Amino acid sequence: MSATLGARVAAFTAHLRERERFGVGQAQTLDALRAAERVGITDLRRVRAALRLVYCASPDEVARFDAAFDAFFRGPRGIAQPHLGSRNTRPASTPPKDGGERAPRPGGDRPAARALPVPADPASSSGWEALLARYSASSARSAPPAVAAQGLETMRAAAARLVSRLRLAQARRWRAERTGPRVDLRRTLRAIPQTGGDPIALARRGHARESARFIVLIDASRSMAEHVAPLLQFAHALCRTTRRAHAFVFSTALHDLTRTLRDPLVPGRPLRELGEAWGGGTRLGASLEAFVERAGRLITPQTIVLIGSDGLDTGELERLERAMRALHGRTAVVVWLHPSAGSTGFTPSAQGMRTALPYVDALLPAAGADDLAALPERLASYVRAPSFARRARGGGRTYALTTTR
Amino acid sequence: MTPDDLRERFAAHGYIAGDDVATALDLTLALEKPLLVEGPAGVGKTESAKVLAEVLGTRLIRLQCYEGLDAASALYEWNYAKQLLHIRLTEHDQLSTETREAQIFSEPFLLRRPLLEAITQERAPVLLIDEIDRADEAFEAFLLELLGEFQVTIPELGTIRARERPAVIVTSNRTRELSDALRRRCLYLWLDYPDAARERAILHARLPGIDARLAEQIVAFMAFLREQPFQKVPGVAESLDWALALTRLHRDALDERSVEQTLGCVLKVREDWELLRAQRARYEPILRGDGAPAASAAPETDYGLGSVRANRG
Repeated sequence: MSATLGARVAAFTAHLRERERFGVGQAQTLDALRAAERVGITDLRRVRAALRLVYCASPDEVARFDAAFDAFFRGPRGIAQPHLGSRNTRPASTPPKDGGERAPRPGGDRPAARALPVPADPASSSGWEALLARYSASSARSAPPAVAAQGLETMRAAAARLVSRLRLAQARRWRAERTGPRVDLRRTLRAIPQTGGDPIALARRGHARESARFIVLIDASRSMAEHVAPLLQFAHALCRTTRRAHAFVFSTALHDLTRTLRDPLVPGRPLRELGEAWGGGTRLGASLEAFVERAGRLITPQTIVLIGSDGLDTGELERLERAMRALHGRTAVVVWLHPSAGSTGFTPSAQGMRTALPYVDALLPAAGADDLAALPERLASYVRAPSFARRARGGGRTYALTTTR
Repeated sequence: MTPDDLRERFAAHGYIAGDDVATALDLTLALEKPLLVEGPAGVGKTESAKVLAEVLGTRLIRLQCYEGLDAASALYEWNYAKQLLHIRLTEHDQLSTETREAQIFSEPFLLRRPLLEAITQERAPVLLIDEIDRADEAFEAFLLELLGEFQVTIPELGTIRARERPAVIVTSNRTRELSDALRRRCLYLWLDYPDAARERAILHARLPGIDARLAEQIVAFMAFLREQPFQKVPGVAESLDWALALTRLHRDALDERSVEQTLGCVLKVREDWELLRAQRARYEPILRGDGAPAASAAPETDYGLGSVRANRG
């Protein structure tokens, strides 16, 4: 009995890892078994609550867990049963279904965990296709975009420059520094016993410099289709450069793409997980509002918001204005990357653009990869402009950006 | 102790724990793993640790995290000033260097900070690491090491191993993404706003004298408020404050005037006030008591607010 339970829980772990992309492994299997033993396996609801504690690590996973558990342990046929026998016999290096699109990595790390879920039984695969068909029928969504591998190095360099050149003003916190303005009494005292009871070397301390947090919001609606690729690539480069970068994609819905874009293997893979956040109409206001609401924790005075959009909004402008006001008021800088801001004769005339403009600190072009590669320098020259200094002073708290050379 | 026992004993201490919380705390104790609690502000994350300590009858040791928190203020530090004083005072004693060293690097000269305190207790305490998201990532890595082994090496004294593993509760307000390593090392509990029945129970448990109708209205009003796109969504702490304020003012029911007077207990941003005023038509039924169902009605249903809640089966 317990052997069967063990096998099933192990299969469930594999299911979560491979299909649901939870970062779980053997440690969780063992904990899950101990937890199930603890609560008793008679009451399935209680088991589910216990395993949720073990397997989940974020609110997003909590939200998806119950459905996964139910489908696995009490679904009509149980989608996992096929795995039970075949899991061990499947070679770990089975190429993913879209293997042709991604460069194979000889001896690559954890290919099994990274592989796209391969639908094992007919029921779920037809469901998946039906879903895809529905998308394309209702809103003419084309194939999902991918992060281009070409030119990635340039983007990485640009992202690194952006992160290193744009700094926030000093933090209040003190830290040890060799030539800080103040004497660090505690460290000086600590060094005294080493010099026989007399203070010889004075330790000093100074203020830490705070690093900024970057948020890239990408409009992936139909009208932006041609311009999304460089933005995605830039977001990927930024997410790979610093953990303090987050990326969201929206069209009619908002999708948090941060985790995906942090994956070094993501270039070349179609981003199927975007779902409704790709290729539909634009609900700019609703999406930004959803962002402010859901990701409120990311909106701090140290945040630099980069919005990549053409400002064509089919939703309510009132919501857009509310979201933009919140972003402007609670972050360091709001930068709008417009595909045609660089072309001559451009005026921000789209309704959404006009509504958002009062709350935008810098309107910069983002027509292609070149524009984004030049972004750090453009932003830096903007930061030195007098208009920015005004905002920094007027904002009460002086989390002004500075540039370092 | 089963989860049900735990819940009963929590209730006796005025904390109404849901199934999820009881199970989580029970498993934390049984599996001896830290529990990471996340959730919106004011839903009782910190309180759960305090009550757990009361229920178990042990000490609560709290480490409040802040930006710049380092090992010296979290784990231990030598009392340099005292060491120095001791050196000066014993300057003329004819002591060997070894003796003197042994003197100044001994327990009386050690300042125990919360983490060291927690692993040197006779009885396993409850260790609350509050708002870990405020500490730096470097500190998180340091903590991870400690939570893995529950032992600390002090070069001058040797390794100190926990006599009893403390029950560790880590809370986070999600102002920063925690590392995956820390998440995977812990059990994870997402603590959300309570449902109407539980919130009502909390109000009655904390304010035993509260008028049933008032409690009902507050719960319905809070449910309405939490659906609005506010900048600061009120939590349970706000419900309790509000209920207390209203009882102090001797109100036995909510009306337009008392809402106006006491709104500051609940909404703490000016824009949110304006947003609420614009929604007056939608919350008036609650004040009239139309929509609010009787206390005996099934808890997880429509509250007359135009939204149907899915039953959390």
